[in-house]
Amino acid sequence: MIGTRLPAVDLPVADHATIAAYLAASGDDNPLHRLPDLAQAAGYSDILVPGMLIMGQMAEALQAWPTCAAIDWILCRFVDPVVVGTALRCEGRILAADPSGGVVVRLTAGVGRRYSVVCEAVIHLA
Amino acid sequence: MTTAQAEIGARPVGVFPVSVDAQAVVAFAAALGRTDPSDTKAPVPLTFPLRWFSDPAIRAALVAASLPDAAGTQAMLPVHIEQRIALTEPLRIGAAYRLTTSVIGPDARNILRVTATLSDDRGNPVGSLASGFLLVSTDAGQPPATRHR
Repeated sequence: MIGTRLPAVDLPVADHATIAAYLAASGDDNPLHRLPDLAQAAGYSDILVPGMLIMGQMAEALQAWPTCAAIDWILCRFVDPVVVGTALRCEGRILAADPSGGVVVRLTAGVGRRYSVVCEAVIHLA
Repeated sequence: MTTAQAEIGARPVGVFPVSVDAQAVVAFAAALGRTDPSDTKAPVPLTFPLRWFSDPAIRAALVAASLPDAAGTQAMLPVHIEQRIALTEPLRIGAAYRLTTSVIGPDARNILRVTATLSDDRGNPVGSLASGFLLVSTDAGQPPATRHR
């Protein structure tokens, strides 16, 4: 089981409408996710995708994996900002057994080898 | 960051009642791209609890505890750099919980950590949250344009 790879998942692309819906649903009002002028002034080409939106999509992908029965915890680091409209692929691999009886999984989301979100999770296998 | 590490130097913020509202869950699940967000048998999205931090009362308390200088509040922008979510049982739609929150920092690197424990209406622990934010000065106008670390 150690080393088993999760099937790669193309996450839903977060366009302006997706981000607006997420901000409304989550209450996040960070202007970097809303104001293109501010984002551009900060050096980005457009507004940024909320990291929690990507984390949420990654958690959904993990929960949808038939091998995953339950997620004990997940820790994500938002290492590289993602501009609206970027297509991200989520990949994962079982790294080790966990003392809880579950396994440690590493998840990444990014473009090619450039990762934007890197996560570690402990899950229990189905 | 372990929970023990996160609790060192933590300043309590408060205990807040929160709930898992069915309509809010549907909207949240839809925003994540779930194909059938109204499926009541599907689990509540794992990241749903972060929504509670947008509650005006909770947010105001967190801001007051984190950035007591009002002028500073206007000048700082939190950039989310890390998030941990642990649940010992799935959240139940319609259920009421208590969110006990603390803040740590900001430290010398301008990193603010927000921690929270979640308990059910009988006080039994249900989970925990730990967030890391890089506070960026908007006066400088230059949030990190590339990698955060």
